[in-house]
Amino acid sequence: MAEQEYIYGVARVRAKEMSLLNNQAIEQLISAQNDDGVRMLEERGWESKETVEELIAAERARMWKFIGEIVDDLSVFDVFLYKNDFHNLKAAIKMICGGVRREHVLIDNGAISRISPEKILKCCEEGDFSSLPENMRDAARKAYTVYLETSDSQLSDMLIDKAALEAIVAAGDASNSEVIRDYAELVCATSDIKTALRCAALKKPVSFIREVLARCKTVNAENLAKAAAASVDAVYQYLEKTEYGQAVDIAKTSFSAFERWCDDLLTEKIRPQKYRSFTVGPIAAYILAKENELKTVRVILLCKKNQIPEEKIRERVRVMYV
Amino acid sequence: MENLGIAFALLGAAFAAFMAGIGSAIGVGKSGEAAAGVLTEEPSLFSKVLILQLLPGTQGIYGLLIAFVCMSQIGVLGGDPNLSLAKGLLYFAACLPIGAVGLYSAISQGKASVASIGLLARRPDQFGKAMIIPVMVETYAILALLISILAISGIGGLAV
Repeated sequence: MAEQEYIYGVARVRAKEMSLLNNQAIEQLISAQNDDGVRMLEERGWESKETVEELIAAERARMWKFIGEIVDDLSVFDVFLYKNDFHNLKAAIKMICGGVRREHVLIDNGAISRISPEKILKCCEEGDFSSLPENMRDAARKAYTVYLETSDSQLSDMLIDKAALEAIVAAGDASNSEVIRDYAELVCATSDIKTALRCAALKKPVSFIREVLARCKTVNAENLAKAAAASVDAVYQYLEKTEYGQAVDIAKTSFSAFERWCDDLLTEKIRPQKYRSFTVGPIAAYILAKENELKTVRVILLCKKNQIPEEKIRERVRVMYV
Repeated sequence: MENLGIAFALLGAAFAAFMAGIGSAIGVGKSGEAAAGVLTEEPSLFSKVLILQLLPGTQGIYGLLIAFVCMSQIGVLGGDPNLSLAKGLLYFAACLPIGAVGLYSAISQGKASVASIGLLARRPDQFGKAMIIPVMVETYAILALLISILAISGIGGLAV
């Protein structure tokens, strides 16, 4: 079957990309004094909000509204929302099983939501997960049971994280889009690496690590689990043999530097979409680029609010798509 | 059987108009989608985008021109419509280049126009370069037009 064309949507994205923040604008934002940064964003069409979180949420909602205007079936981009849905599941299980209700923990995807946070919360309250999407059901039951029986929130979280990665990989495999496939693979592989590094630092047994690593193409979960069970250095040695070898030195410096490297790698992978005109790829790339921008702006504004020095902020800033 | 000459000649004229017209309709349609997308965000680019949208439309005009010249030569628009089968087939063959090349080049030019409209959305000051890229495809439609015209003009003088 011929791949669906998104000519109108891609053309709108091409024009809209001009309003994305480039590296120069990010530098201005870092150097801005007092409220100049927020004012600069408002001049670029961002809404005026009280808090940084509200500002980011409003801009994200604006982005999805735009995507909704140019694509008829938004389910193509469900893969980008899986992280939020599974995060909500983790939070809901903790709130219900741990008996502590917290405000502003659940992420609402708004109109584009596959499943609302309230519905996930209700499922956890009733202990009945049959109304959840298929790729969440089993993980929800398992994590819920583990939390209730052992109170091990870490294992419960990791089981849900693994299910999220498996759902993302499955969506990537099912997709015709190169961007979505690359995104799924990269998210899964880098998450596995982060999990392996954490497990190695905490000296977790191989049986535990096997249980929490998801399978992907660029990293062998079994070999990674064995390496993580041995030591952090063994994980680095294993990574040297994979396509993530160049991240080893970065990961040794700090975990946040490695996270930044992962985000920058994704941006590099989606960059060729700037020159495609017909497929869903450039629209998917725009969503990822906007998410990267929101993440970076959030980091900068929060760091400035907490009076963190500019050079420290620059260490956390991601490379921009445009 | 004695009327097959004019039938083939008219079939050739119809082929030229039909195929090149379909190509242009697809090409202009695709570039129109891209044009609408860019204009939603940047209405000030209307005149530049319109030119890029219309570029794949020329093949349809070439097809129409060849069909018109062919019909005029074979006497459908007035004159003697009696043609030998050989001449009818020759007219049919003469119409093939613009029909086939017109169809394919218009669709390809439409795709190039879509890409150029995207370029214009990002760099409105690069209109000249954005236009030259799809215009390159036009070369082959013009070559096909030239061959079809030369062939149709020459057939009348042949003693077949």
